[in-house]
Amino acid sequence: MILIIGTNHDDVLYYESILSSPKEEVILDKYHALVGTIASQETMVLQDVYTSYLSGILATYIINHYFISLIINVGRCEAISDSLKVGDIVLSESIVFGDVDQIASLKGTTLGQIPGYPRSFAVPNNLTRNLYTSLEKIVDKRFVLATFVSSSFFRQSKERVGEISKDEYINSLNQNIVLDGESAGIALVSQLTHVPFIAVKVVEAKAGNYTSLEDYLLVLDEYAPLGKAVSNFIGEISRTDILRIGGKF
Amino acid sequence: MAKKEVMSLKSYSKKALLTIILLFLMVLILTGGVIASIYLVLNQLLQILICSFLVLGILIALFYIVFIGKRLYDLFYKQGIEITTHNIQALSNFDKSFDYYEEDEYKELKDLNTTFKDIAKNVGGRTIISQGLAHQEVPLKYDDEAKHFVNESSLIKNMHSLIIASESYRNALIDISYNLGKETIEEKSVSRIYNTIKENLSYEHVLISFKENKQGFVVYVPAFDSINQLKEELEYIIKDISLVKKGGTTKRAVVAHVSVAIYPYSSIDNLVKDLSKARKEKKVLNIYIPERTFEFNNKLLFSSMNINNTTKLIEDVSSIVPDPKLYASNLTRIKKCIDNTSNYYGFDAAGYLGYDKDNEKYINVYSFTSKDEVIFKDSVDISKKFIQTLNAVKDSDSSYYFSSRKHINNRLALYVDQYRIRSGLFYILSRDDKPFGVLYFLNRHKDLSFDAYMKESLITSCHVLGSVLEKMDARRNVNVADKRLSEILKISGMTLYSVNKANYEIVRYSQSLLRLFPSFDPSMPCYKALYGLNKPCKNCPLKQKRHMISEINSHKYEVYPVFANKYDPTAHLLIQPQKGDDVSERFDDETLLSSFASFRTDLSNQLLSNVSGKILLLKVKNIKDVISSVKNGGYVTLIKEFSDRVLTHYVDFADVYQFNSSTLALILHDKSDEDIVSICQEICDIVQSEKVDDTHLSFMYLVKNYSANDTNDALQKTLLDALDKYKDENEDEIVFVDTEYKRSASLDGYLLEQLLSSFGEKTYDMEFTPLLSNNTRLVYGVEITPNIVDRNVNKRLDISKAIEVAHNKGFGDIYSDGMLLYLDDLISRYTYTFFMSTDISCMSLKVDHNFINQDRFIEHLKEIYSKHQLPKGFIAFEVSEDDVYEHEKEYKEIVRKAAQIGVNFIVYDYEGNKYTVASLGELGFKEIKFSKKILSSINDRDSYNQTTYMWLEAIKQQMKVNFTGVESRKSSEAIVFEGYDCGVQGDYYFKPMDEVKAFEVIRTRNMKDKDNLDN
Repeated sequence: MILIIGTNHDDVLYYESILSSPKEEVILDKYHALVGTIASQETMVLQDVYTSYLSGILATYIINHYFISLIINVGRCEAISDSLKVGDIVLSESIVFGDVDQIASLKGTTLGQIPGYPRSFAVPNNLTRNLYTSLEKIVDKRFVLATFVSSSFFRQSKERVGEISKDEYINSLNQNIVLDGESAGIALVSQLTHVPFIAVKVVEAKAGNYTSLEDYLLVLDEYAPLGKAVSNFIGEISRTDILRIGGKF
Repeated sequence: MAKKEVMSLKSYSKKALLTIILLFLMVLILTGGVIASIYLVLNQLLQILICSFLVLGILIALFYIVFIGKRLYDLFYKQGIEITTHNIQALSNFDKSFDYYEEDEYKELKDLNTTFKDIAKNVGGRTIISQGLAHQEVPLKYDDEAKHFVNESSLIKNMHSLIIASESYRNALIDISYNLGKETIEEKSVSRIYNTIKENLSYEHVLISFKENKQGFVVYVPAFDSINQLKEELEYIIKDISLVKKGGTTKRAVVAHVSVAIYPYSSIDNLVKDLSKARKEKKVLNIYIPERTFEFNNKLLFSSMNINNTTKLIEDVSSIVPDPKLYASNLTRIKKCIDNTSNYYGFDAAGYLGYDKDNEKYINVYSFTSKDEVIFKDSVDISKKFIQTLNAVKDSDSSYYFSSRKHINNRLALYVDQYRIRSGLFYILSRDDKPFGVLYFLNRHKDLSFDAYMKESLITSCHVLGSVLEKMDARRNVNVADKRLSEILKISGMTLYSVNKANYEIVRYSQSLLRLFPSFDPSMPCYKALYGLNKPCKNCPLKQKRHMISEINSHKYEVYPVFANKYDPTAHLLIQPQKGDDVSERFDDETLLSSFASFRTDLSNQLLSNVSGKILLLKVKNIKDVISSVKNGGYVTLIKEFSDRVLTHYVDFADVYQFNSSTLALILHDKSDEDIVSICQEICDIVQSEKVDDTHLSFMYLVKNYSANDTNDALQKTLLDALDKYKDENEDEIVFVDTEYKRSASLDGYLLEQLLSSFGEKTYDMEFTPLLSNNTRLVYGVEITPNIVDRNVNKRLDISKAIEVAHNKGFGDIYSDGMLLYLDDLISRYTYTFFMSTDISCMSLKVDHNFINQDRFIEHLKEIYSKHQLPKGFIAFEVSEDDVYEHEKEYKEIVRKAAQIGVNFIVYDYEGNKYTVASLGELGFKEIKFSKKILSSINDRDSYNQTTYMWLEAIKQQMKVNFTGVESRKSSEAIVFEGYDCGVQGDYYFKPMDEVKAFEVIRTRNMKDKDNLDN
């Protein structure tokens, strides 16, 4: 089963609408996921997932209770890099925690690193490559690979955004940097459980800025084509069976 | 036009009915008669004649029946039923546009017309609070059994009732629509959207309707807190309720378009129309607020209950004058208002956050809590971002109200959570969109459940408080800037003044200009005011565009034009001592006040300028106490602060000088002795308010005149001799060195010493004002007023103030005993026989509650009455209506006791503001003296009627009436009341006079013929 996780309903709106024979599954007595098929692939669509804490817990639970072959995190993000604009689509090339500082807890730990884990979580190349291809086929808009900095602060202060944008390590991963709320939690689970994971999101605003409704319309416009691209990607991977448990990190 | 006679509708109806019955019977009889006669043997012609008459009679009867019937129909149905129905309908809508019965010659209909007119008047003038429908009683129809969705038509139809039932100020009608073409919203999406709306708009009694076209929703939100916050909630909803439109092979996301109309910005009747207008806008979210003015005839009026309480809470601060000198006392009043407001509304905490300019941060200026909940600690800086966020999210009325944690903007929630606030109100004060203060009323442990009236009352209170704080802040800023400039100029020895470029008139000047030119007239052009010239200086810096050298009082100065700006109509000039010509040792090393040397220099300037005035020395009497009890150089601090205060208070004072180590000096030109006394009194108040470690300075004041004939050295010597001579004088004593006149600097002290001396040495005078009968113009009594004059300054004392001071200091009996002794003596000297023979039946004295509260007051009166065998009412005491009001209990007792002896009490200055005449009569007062205002407005019809009414009341109570302030023949002729007499007094008849003259007048006047009595 493929797991699609979004923050709110609009994030998963398209996927729900294309699910065949959808059924409701109640997760932990609180979350109402829809299970159906997309491109003949059994898919679970989950919404109302906020912060890495929740995304990590739910991903773990679902992995333990269902056979999950791939997790896709969809939704919105904020651009830290000046090169990114509202409406741009970004794919995760690597993911880092933006709100972790365990330097003092264990010698040798770097900024953003949970002790015992890598500082950044790389997405398997094959995933990014295939999704990239699907996007090329379907989406007219700009889409790029980016580093996802994941933080449970919904709206980062401008100072913190400034710090992230100047972080040499993060810049060395990819010059396109975005901020989101949930991807790092899933990346950590993926690391532990060896379930592949990729995030693909739409830029809704410059980091630290307020999103106007007009900008939101631009985001919403991209959901359908992005959704199509993701469906296409799902179709492709189910055919080619490119998923490998224990993929490269 | 002849007046319509009023008849009873009931009796008319009875008569009409009787008439109909009689006519009917008559018709029957006639008909019977016709039939009978036809059968009788009558000739044909007679038969025809009878038949014709009968037919005519029947027709007339029938016509009359129809007429009566129609009349009754018009009266009962068209007038009675229709008009009454219309009026009842209008009343149910709180509308005063009633119809009136035309046929008002009928008593019942006339009465009904009067009733409806009264109702119309009352509805227009009164507050209406709907006690009608509870929310659940509004007859809404639902589209589903679970009652989730209200029927759209039912919702719109009952909008009026819903708004009235909610009793709240802000109600929103929201339209959520999707552009789905021909598609409709699927059922599962409907319930999902319903849940999302319900979760996010978590107000009570939110009603949701699924539109009949199945492409959207209509939502009614009663009682939401803040438009800004509703907008944020709706934005959040919008981002969670998008739909997918299938449209053939492609799918696309469709966002909801949300339109909002808000009562009362849109009136109830226009709410739905305005919503339609809002729908036509293309924006995703459109909150429509029309620019119509508030409709006066709005059916929902606001409660006066809380407005009355609000008025009481804010009335003290409403009168605050934002004078920087009164900053401390004003802040105390504001704090009190905040406390009272917080207590009244039951908040956990309240206070004021202000901006500290010097440290560029926000601080807690004042906090109040009745429940030990300090939200903003003094030691912790207030986050600037918090204040900026508040400023960004506030509503257009500068307030931010949130009834619970749920209803708060996201970006503010961060700070609200940090401070553990649960509900409350912030009121943001800003200037040029920069916040400089925040009033807050907050709860930590509970939500706010205010109704609309309480909320608006609280916001109103904040408006008033905010306005006062804003003015105070503005004035203070100006004051601080001015003071800084003044200090800089003083320390640098410079002087700045500004002139109008066109005519050289001085428009502004620093205080230090007075030191150089003590007597200059600022209304004159600078060349005349400063240099005595008739035209601009030869080297005028404004013309030459460079500095000019001036010789001022034997010293050379440079005068520069500064801050040159061709657009400024004012030119600014700076005077500074020329280099090499410095005035040395200008400041005292310790206190940094201007030194003795400066004093000498400036005094020389005065003498050279031919100016006369007074030198005021302030000798510190308690210097040892101050130095020993005030730590850390407190003496210097007190001296410095005192100097600052004086120079701020008196802008025409050049400076405060350190004359010697324990004496300060002021050079005051062009001041009279009276001015000096006022200044000393004010200084007395200033030093008492400037305390350090509970200690304040105490001065003894020496006043010495100076003029151009004096020399500096001679004046110095005189001053030093005077300091030595009067070194043992008490603190707060003023000594005029030239006349050796002494008096207390404090007003209370002065009044007391004058009163004690006057009554102790019997140097007081009494003034007598004859009281005349209006009808006969003969004198029936005298009003006696003590006249205490300070002979040294020839100034009359405020006797009532003096009495109050004497009473407060425990010397009240000296005055009252003194006055009663005088009365006793007066009667003894003239004897009662004289008064009887001259028809004098009353001697009255103006007193107050202090007078009557003396221990032996009643006993003393009894002794006088018994000694002289006086008749009832011979002695009377006059008290003011206000004094009675404030001390009613005391008066009630004394008036009763005094009446038993035969002493009357009169209320003077009566206007009827506090008591009716009847209530004064019940308290035992025997006479009212109308205030001068009553007579002066007697020509006004309403005032005249009012006065006549009070006069009649007095007559009923068997009380006398007196008109004071009769100033002219016209006002004397205005006092006319057929058959009744009253007392009159005023300058038209007699001005107050001394005892000898008064009795001479009594003697001669009362012997004259009545005809010759008109003045």
